Amino acid sequence: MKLKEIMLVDDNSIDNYVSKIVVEKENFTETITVKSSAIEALDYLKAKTDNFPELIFLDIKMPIMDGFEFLLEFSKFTVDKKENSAIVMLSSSINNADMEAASNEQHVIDYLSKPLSKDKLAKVFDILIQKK
Amino acid sequence: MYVVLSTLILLLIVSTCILLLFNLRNRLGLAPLYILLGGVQYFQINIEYIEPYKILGEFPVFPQSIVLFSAMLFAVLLLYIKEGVVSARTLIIAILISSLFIIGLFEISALQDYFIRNANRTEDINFTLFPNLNFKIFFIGTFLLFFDFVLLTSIYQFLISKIHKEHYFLILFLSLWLVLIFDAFTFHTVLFVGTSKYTASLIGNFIAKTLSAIIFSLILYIYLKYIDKVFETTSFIANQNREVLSILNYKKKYLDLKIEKEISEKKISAQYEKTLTSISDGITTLDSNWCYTYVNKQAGKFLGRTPESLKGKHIWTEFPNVVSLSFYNACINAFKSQEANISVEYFSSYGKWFENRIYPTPDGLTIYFTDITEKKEIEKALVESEAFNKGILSSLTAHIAVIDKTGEVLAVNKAWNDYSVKNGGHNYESSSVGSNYIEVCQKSISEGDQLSQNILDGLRSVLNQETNHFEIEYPCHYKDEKHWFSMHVEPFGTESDKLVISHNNITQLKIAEEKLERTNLKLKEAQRMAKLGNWEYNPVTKEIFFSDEIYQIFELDKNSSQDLYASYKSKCIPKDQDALDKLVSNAIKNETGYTIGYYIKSNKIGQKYIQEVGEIVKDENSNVFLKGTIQDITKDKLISDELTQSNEELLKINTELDRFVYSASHDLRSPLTSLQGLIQVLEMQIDTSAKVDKEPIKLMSQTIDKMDKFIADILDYSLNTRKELTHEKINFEALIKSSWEDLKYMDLDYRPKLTLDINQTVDFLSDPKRVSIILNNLISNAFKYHDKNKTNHFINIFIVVDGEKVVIDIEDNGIGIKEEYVDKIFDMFHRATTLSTGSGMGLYIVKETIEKLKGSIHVESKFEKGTKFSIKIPNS
Repeated sequence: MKLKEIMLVDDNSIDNYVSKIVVEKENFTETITVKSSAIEALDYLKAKTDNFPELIFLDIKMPIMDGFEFLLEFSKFTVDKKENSAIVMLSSSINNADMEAASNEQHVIDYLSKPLSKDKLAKVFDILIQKK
Repeated sequence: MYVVLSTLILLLIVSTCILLLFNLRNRLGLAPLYILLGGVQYFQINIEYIEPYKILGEFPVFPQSIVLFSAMLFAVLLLYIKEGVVSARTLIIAILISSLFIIGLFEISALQDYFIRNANRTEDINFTLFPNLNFKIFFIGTFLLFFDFVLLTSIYQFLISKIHKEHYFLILFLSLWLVLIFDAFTFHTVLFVGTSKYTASLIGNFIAKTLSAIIFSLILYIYLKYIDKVFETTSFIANQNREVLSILNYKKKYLDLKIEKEISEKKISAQYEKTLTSISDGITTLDSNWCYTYVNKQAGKFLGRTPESLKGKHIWTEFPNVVSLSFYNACINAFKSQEANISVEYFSSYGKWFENRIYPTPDGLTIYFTDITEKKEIEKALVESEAFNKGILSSLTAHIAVIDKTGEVLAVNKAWNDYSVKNGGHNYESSSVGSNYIEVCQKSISEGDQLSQNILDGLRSVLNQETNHFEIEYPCHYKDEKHWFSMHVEPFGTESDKLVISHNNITQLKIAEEKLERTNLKLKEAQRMAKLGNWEYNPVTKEIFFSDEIYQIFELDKNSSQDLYASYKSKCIPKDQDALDKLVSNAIKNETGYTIGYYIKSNKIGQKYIQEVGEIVKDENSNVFLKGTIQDITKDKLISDELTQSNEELLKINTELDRFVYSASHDLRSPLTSLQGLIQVLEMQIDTSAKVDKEPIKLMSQTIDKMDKFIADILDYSLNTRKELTHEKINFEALIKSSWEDLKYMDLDYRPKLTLDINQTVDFLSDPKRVSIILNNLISNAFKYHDKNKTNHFINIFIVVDGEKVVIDIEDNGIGIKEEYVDKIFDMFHRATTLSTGSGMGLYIVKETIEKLKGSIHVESKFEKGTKFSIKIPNS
C-alpha cells in the first residue's frame, strides 16, 4: 500500500527533517508535505481542492496555535474532505493529560513519542490498514 | 223447827244439784240441768196448795215453793253469768216448755183416767178438768216466771255495769232479792188483793224470800269466787259489756255481729296475708316436726322457691347445706329453750348475708329473716375505707398533726410520732397528742428562736382566718446531716378553729435545687468560655429567649426594656438576615434543622461572625417553635478564612508547578528527542557505507535515553507526590503489554521469555497512573538487568486480585542483588550495580508510589540467581 500524501506539522524543523527522512526511506507515500506551523497547515488544507493528505503527523506544542487547536479547526472541515484523512499525534510530551486528550479526538488514530522511527511508522500503517 | 231444817236441807239439795250439774256441763252438756230445772218447776206448781207454814206464827208461806222458785232464779243467773245470754235464754225456754209439757201430760193422763172410769161406770164421778190446777194462778205464774227471768238478767246487767265488782255479792243479792220481792208482790197483788190473807201472806213471803235471796246469793258468790274461778277472766269482763236487755235482743245483734265478724275476719285475714306478703322480711313458720307451715312470698324469693312448694316440707331435708351453719344451732336452741334467738350469718349457697330472728311458738318456730347483704357490704366497705384512710395517713412521709385553737395537739399521724422519737425532742416536732404546739413555739421564742416566731405568726393568721394557708420552708440540720422542711398550715375542714399542720421533708428537693443551681452555673460558665449561648424563638409571637451568653455576644443589655426581637434584628446585617429568614422558614416548613454562619455588627470589633444552629421543636399542643445555639466564632472564622486563602494560593502554586514541571520536562525532552531522531537518520545513512565504527553513535543514543529516562523519573516523582489519588478500573494485562512494547524498542537484540498469569475474578480499582509507574519500573528493571551469562532469560509475572487487594509477583533470573545492597535498593539515587544505566530514582519512586497507595513491597534476591519483587496494593 502506498499513500498519496503525508503531511508533517511541526514547528521544530529538525524533527520535521528526521520525520521526512524516515517516511521517505520507507517509501510509503508519493508526496510529503511539510508545514512548520498549524496555521500554515490549515491554510494549506483550506486552499486544497483535491483530497486531504491521508496521514497527518501533528506536533502538540507549537507557538500561536497548538495541536489541539488545530484539531478543533480541522473538525470544522466538511466530512467529504476529511473522510480519508487520519491524524497521528507526534510529540515529545509524556504528559498523561495530553495522551488522554488526544485519545478523545475523533480523527486521532495514534499517539507517538518523538522521534519517529521505522518501527513506529510500521505500527501506524498497521492501524491504517486495519481501519480500512 | 223441823220445818226450817227440812227447808234448809231442800235448799242445799237443790242448789247442790244445780251447781253439780253445771260444773259437769263440759262433760254432760246442759241438758240434765234443764231437765232438772223443768222438773223443779213442775214440782213447784204442784205444791201450791199444800198447807202453808206460818212464820212467826201468823205469816203463812210455802217454804218449798220459795226455795224451788229461788233455785230456778239462781240457776238462770248462774247460767247467765257463766254461759252467756244464749244458754240462759235456752234455760228459760226449757223451763217454760218442760213445765207446760209436764202439766199437759199429767192433765191428759187424768182425763184418760176419767174416761176409763166412766166407761166402767163403776162409780159416778164428777169430772173436773185439771183438778189440781188453778188456771188463773198457773198462767199468771208462768207469765210472771218468764218476766222474772228477764227482770233478773236485766237487773244483774244493770247493776254489774254500775257497781264496782268488789261488791259482787251485793250485786248478786240485790238481783235475786229484787226479783223475788217483785214476784211476791205482783203475784199476791194479782191473786189475793182485797182478801183477808193478802197482807199476812205478803209479809210472810217478803221475809222468806229475803232469807232465800241471802242464802242463794251467798252460795252463788262462793261458787263463782272460789269454785269456778273465772272472776278476773274475760267472760266476767264481757258480762259487764252486755246490754241490760241483752236477754231479749241478743239474738238479732248476735247475727248482725256474726256477719260483721265474718266480714272483718276476712278483711283482717286478707290484710294479714297482704302484710305478711308485702313485708320485706322473709317469714316462715315451722311446726314441731321442722316442717314448713307458712312461707311468705319474700321468704320464697330469698330461698329461691315458691312458698307453695315448701309448705309441709322438712326444712333440713330441703336445705341440707344450712345444717352446717350456726343458723341450725340457733333454731335448735330456740326450739329447746323456747326463747327467741337471733343469728346473723353468711349463706354462701345464696351468696348473701341473712339476719334470722327465730321465735318459738307453742307448736313450732317462726323465723323472720332479712337480707342484710347490702348492709354488710356497706359495713365492710366502711371498715375498709377507714382502714384505707388510716393506712394512707400512716404511709405518708409528711408529718401531720391536728391542733385546736389553744394549740393542743389533737391527732397526729405515724410519721409525726416517728419523727419525734427519732429526733428526741426537737423544737417543733416533739409535741405529740396532748401537748401544746403553741406553747412549744412560745418556749422556743423565749429562747430567741426567730423561726418559731414566724411559725406562730403564721398559725395565728390562719386561726384568725386572715389567710387560709400558711407555708414556710426552714432548714433543720441535725446529726451532721443537712435537712430542710416545708411546713404547711391549713384549717381542718370547715372547722376553722382547728388546724392541720404538716411538715414535709424537702431535703432531696433542696439538694436537687442546689445541684441544679450549680449545674446552671457550670453551664453558664461553659457557655461563657465557648462563647456559645442557647435560644428559643416562637415564630408566631416573635417571643425570644436568650441565655446570658447570647446577650454578651450581641452586646445587648439584658435589663433593657427594648423589644428583644427588634434589638436582635438591629444587630444583624440585612443581607445575611434575608438568607437566615429563608432558611428558618424552610426549616419550619420541612421540620428540619439548619446551621448557618453570618456576620453581626459589633461596637467593639466592627463585626463578629457567629454560627447559628436551629432545630424545630413541637410542644404538647403541636405548636412549632425553634430552639438552638449561637456561637461567636469570629476567631475561627478569621483562621478558616486565612486557611481558605492559603489553600487557594497553594492550589494555584501547585497548578503552576505542575505546568512548570510539564513544560520543563517537555522543553528538556524536546531537544533530546530531536537528537535521537538525528542519530537515527545518521545510522540510516551510514548503514550503507561500510567500515565505520558505529559504537560512538550507539553510546550517544544510550546517553540520550538515560537523560530522557531521568527526566521521566523526575516527572513521575513529582506527579506521585502532588497528584490526588484517583480510583479507576485497572486492566493489568493492557498495562503490562504496553510497558512491554515500550521495552522492546530499548534493546532490539534481547528477547526474554515473558510469562503473565493473571488470576482475577473481581474488578481492581486504583490509581492507573501510579500503578503503571510501579509496573513500568519493575518490569523495566527485570528487563534491563538480565544476566548475559545465561541463555534462557525469563520474566514471570503473577497477579492475584481479590476484593481486598492485588498481589503482584515479578520474578526474573537476572543478575540479582548482592546481599549487602538489598536493604538499600529503595534509597534515592542508590545504584546497586555497576551495570546500572539508571539515575537511581526508579525503585525509590516505586516505593514512594506504593506507600502513597498504602501498599507494601517486598524483595527476595540472590546475587547472580535472580530477583523477585512482591507487591501488595489495596483494592480501593
